[in-house]
Amino acid sequence: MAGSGTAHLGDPSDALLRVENLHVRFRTGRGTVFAVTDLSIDIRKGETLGLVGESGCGKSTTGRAIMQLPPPTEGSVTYAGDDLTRLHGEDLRRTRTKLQMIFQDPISSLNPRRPVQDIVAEGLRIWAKSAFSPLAIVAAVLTLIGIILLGIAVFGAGIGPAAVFGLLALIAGVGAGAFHLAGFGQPTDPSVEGKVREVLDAVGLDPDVAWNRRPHQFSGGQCQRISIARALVTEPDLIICDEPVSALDVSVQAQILNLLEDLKAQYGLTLVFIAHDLAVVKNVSDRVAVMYLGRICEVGPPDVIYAAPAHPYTRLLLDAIPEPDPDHRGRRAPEQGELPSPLAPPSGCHFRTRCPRADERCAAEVPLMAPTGDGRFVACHHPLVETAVAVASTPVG
Amino acid sequence: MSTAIDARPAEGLPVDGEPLLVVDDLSTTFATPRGPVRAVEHVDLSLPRGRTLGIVGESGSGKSVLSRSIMGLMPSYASRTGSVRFEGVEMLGADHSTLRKVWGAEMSMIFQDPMTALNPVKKIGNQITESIKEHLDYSSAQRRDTAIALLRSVGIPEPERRLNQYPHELSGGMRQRVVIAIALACGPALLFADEPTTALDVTVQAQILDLIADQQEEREMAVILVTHDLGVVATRADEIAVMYGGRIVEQAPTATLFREMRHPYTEALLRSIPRLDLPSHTRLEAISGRPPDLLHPPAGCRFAARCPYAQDRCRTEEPPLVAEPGGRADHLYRCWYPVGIAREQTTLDTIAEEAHVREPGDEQAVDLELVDDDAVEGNVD
Ligand SMILES: Nc1ncnc2c1ncn2[C@@H]1O[C@H](COP(=O)(O)OP(=O)(O)OP(=O)(O)O)[C@@H](O)[C@H]1O
Ligand SMILES: Nc1ncnc2c1ncn2[C@@H]1O[C@H](COP(=O)(O)OP(=O)(O)O)[C@@H](O)[C@H]1O
Ligand code: SF4
Ligand code: SF4
Ligand SMILES: [Mg+2]
Ligand SMILES: [Mg+2]
Repeated sequence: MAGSGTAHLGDPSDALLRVENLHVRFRTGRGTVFAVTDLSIDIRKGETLGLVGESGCGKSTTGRAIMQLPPPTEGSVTYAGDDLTRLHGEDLRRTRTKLQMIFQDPISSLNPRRPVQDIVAEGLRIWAKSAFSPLAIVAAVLTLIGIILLGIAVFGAGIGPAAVFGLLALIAGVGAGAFHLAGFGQPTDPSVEGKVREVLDAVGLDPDVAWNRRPHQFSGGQCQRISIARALVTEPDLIICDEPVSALDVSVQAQILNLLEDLKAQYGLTLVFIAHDLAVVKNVSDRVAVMYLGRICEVGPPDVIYAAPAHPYTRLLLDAIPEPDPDHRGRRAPEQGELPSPLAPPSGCHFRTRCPRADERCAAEVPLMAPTGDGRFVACHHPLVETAVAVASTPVG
Repeated sequence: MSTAIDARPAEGLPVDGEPLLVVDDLSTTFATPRGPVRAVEHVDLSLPRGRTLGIVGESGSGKSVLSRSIMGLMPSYASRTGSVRFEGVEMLGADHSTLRKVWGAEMSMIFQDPMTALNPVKKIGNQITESIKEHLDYSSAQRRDTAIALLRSVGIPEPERRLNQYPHELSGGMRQRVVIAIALACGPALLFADEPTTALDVTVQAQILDLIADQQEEREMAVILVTHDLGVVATRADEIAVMYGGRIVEQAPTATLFREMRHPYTEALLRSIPRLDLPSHTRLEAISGRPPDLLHPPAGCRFAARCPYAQDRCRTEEPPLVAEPGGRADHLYRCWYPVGIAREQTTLDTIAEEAHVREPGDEQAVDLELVDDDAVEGNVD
């Protein structure tokens, strides 16, 4: 697609979250990176929306822009009637507990020094964190006493017992402050503990065994379960899973995919599932959106898209997948070409430099989303499946 | 790899005398502070020129250690027993200067991580010419020409310009191509590709695997392709060895393995792959539990704790790696109650037939770590 338009958006009342005309640009020393360009998508209540595409096409950036980490350059993200791009501070933090993200690398995304119980409880604490916990007050008072005593010592009294005491108070105060910021000394609410136990249990980890262990004592698959538990604990409506199984073996991958499907049913979750493996995405998704260089090419039910892709880029991706079947030996992947630089995306359709069907129109006009009549929408001037109405388009610019 | 498998000489047969590589009863032990880790045990292999052996298994099953043990790239606290004959020469116990001559020139390796395989502060061109300089007596102009030709052959556009670039200026796929160019620089007879594409997109993965296949055909190079994904080797390998807990548990020509798989672990690996040809929300058959701890390997069959068909005998007696009496001599497996004999045959087709789409409330085994439940369930048949 690399196309634009909003024809594929459903009824706003079905949408849990709606992204419209999203742009994300990064300014770098070498120029502006166009990571996401005019992307619109709705995420419907209770569905799993799969997001696929090659590395660097903007999947994670889209996920992060939804979370406002960082907020997008342009566009709106509407959730529960609010445009998240306009929320700030406490309002944004409160809303964000309902939206969670699980990151790609299961091991490095967990703090190696914290026990599992703290890692999982973190989401609850961040949002319940009080600036006035007893530890914070002790830290502030000690620091203040330390500064005053040291000040007196420096400006007159000389190095005496008061100065020593002041220094000790300052050190203790700063230390207590650091502990406070690290999350210790928060009231251990029995309901927090119960909730952490419940989610650990739900992701298939024995709370008694896992409780005080640290991430390095777990395998990659188990670390991914801890990440999922951490996301679940705030009782979110939506979880954005960024490549949750890419770093895992096929056997563990199957465990995690099954787990996500179970949790989705059990907790009534809505999921965005980001991956570059098309078979994995097909397995878990109700709808799939194929991305290329910051835009959506094609979106629809996976069984429809995979049976007969409408966008030439989807065709190319599907042709590249190895079949686990020796009868397919000797089949060569088609010439693929290189992904253009996101510093200077091609005019018109972003895919035109690799597309076998490209013509002048593709260089001149950005294709817009159009329905193919089977629940799928495609943004292409010459799709592989007829579109129901002539493809609308906008001139470059 | 355009030729059909059947058009090639029969599996394992030496084309002229001894095959290129013959591995005999190879075992590798690491002396660790916690005790000996037997990472590879009793491996026999043979690989003729021009052929591809796929080594498949989960993380930690010993695939990388096996490749490194064959090459002789071992840390000082590792010890190997058995024999590795390469081009008729015994490599176990060979001195370092012999090994240095073989590495890079005769045997080379594409490592698992393309990012760390390249020196970040050295230009691409120098990294390639250095390897040539070490093994071939070429002038510097010849080395440069060879490097350009290599980069072009691995599909890198504008190779002259790339010689002066640093690794960080290339995309992941390009970097992996450079790693392959270096591995191919001296025209090795045997190439180890350890998860060469695991970190890459499918599009790049397909290109890289095609590239290896082209080079292989051109140079009659033998390839050992290591991966955890049966899908990757299905169309690329002539023969497949499945590893579990440091041992080969099944080994057969590729088509035979997929048609007549015998080992429950091979079956489980195949069942766990999400497939494009099955509807979305098909329930995947995960393998419960984890691979055995090689510091304290279990008695009996190493897969018993996770095997749905395990019986008492499996927990006490380890099955030998043997061919079926009256079956194909080149199909070996280690199992007392094999698939297709003690129970129904599993193939891609039978998996597709049994596949079922998840239904609401279909929440069996959220706790997938509980091994015993599954084993008990499996004993029913
Ligand atoms: N240098 C070493 N010292 C001690 N043990 C080791 C060493 N290298 C590997 N092992 C152990 O040997 C076993 C096999 O490791 P190996 O790296 O070959 O697995 P693998 O199949 O390649 O897995 P992966 O896909 O994760 O790379 C593991 O149990 C591992 O912990
Ligand atoms: N902080 C950043 N600064 C500059 N460029 C970035 C930044 N984050 C992402 N990008 C670029 O944006 C594009 C999309 O990135 P990303 O969303 O991470 O891709 P992926 O689909 O692999 O997740 C890439 O070209 C990437 O290099
Ligand atoms: S046919 Fe044109 S619009 Fe369609 S994908 Fe190709 S280049 Fe883009
Ligand atoms: S049936 Fe027994 S011998 Fe065969 S794999 Fe299972 S546990 Fe091992
Ligand atoms: Mg990403
Ligand atoms: Mg490995």
